[in-house]
Amino acid sequence: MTASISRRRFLASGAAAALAPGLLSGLSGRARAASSLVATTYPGTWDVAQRQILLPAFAAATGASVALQPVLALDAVAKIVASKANPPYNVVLMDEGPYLAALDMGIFALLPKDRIRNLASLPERFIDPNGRGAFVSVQVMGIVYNPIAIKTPPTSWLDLWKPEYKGRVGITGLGSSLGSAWMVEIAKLHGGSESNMDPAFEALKKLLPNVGAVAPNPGALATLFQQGQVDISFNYLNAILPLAQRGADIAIARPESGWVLVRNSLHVIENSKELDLCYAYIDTALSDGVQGRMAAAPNFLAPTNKTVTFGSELQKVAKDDQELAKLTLIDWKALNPQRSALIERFNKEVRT
Amino acid sequence: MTAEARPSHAASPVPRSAFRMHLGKPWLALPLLAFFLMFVALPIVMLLSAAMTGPDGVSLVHFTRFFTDGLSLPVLGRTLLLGLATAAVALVLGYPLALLFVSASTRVQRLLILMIVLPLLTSAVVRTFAWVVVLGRQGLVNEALIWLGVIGAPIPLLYTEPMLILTLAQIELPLMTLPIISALSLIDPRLQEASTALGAGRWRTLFLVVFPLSLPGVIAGVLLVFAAACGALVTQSIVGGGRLLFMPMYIYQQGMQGQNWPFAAAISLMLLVSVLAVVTALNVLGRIATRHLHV
Repeated sequence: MTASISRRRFLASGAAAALAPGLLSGLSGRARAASSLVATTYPGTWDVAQRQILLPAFAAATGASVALQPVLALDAVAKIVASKANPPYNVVLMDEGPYLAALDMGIFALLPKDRIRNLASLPERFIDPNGRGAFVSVQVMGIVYNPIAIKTPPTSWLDLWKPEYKGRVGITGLGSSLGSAWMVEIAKLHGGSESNMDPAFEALKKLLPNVGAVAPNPGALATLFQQGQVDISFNYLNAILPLAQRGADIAIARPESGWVLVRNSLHVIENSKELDLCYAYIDTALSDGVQGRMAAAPNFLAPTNKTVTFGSELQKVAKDDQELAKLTLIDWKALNPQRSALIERFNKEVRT
Repeated sequence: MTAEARPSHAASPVPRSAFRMHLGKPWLALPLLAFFLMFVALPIVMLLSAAMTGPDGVSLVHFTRFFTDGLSLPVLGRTLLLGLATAAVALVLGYPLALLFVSASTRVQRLLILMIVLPLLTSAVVRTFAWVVVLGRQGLVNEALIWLGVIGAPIPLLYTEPMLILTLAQIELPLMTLPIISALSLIDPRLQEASTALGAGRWRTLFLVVFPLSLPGVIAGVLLVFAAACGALVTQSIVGGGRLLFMPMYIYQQGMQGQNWPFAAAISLMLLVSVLAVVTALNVLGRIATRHLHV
């Protein structure tokens, strides 16, 4: 008897506890709802950089707060598609590959140009022709190597095929933009293109004796150097320079075919609430203040805003925005339709 | 299950009337039933309907692809083998540990149980990364072997299947040891005394008396480790690397990276069905093996 009473009491108090936050938020409902956004970022350096730079700037501009969720682009797309009417995020971070792949799913809202003033500061090449996103930064892909093991900096993607790097090459698959962009460059060097990837796979077969490790994702690819598993690979400037600055034996070199750019974009999700805050968030991310700090040490995310001056490390990639805008871009529209088949083919070819 | 083998042993410390009382209130299981319907049965139905969605309506195209694409079946086979191999290694490591435990004094037992359970208190991700440090080119094993002069240059350990099996076996070891301990401690010690009195040596007693009586625990441990190893996405991808492809990563690739949900659903179901098939087979084997105990 006593047991059941105490249980009932327990349940009742539990219910009260569960209701309390609801009541409280009901009281201050308007104030709370108007002051928070849910946005995605990528796990790792992106997360840290946006927390330190973008969120405080956004809070200063609007007084609102952001719950930043580290989630990969394709995972975010999957979650949004699963709940289109009530999306889990207001604003998402993408790279152009996943963005274009998901464009037809109708989850990205149109951005009103007049509401995001900083869009006017972007060069032509960094404006989304679909009008459904804003490119906030550029990741720069180059050849990564261990300067202790490899004294002369590599100059070409084809250096990875050199016999002296037997078992010392690290790669990652086409599940990521990084792996896809690299395979496109390899295809191009062998007479292929985004729509003809066969040459890249032919070359990959010949590379296998050199491959020491296939990383499941780009993050793991960078750590292979710190573990001493590989000496030469490919990656983004913004993934490598922070490691180099922390004293890791890692460096990045320009391939003679040119640096490769992968643009990152922010998007407001269709059916999202708090549109004013969403626009303000993107506007803040495009501002020269935020982009200037994102471009500086230790983040090295190249800016898209014309008014940002390039620091010394970024000047090795491009002197200014005009030169940056001339670097290689990948034709994701041509690549995306084959993506699933390419991931599959990569699986088959590299499997031991 | 083995009650006949030790009739003197009370079937259970719980009096029979207690069972009857619980059986009289089947509604007590309703919350669990509701939970299962909501979070197990319904998702499986949804998975099945997703897997049967072809380009134009209901279709079996994704299952056909599974059996004919030349990649999916080998990946499935390799995953099941990984699970079995891991269970075998964990059994070899875990059984002596369990024997040690039941024969130890209470004070040592307290220490041992802490050591057995301790890994469960650390996340599998952390334990996996510890293995990366141990197995890397500049890891503990390679450095030690070079220092001893056994090898001249680091040998590849990380991203190899044998080391993945070893890693998984260590990570899942508590799942093997705990059920065996519970089975071993249920064995009536007089049976071992009887065996010795009848002239059997220690090894003979172990293999003919103790091991068969502990089979229910062994089967439970093997099933748990097998199922856990088959689904260990994090350890498989971090210690196994990108060149060893197993079903969990394959499902993730198809679902997330390829956005090919129907096929991802189909291969998920295939994994579910095959794991269940292996589990059922092991269970049946176990039942056949323990039936002999009645003799």
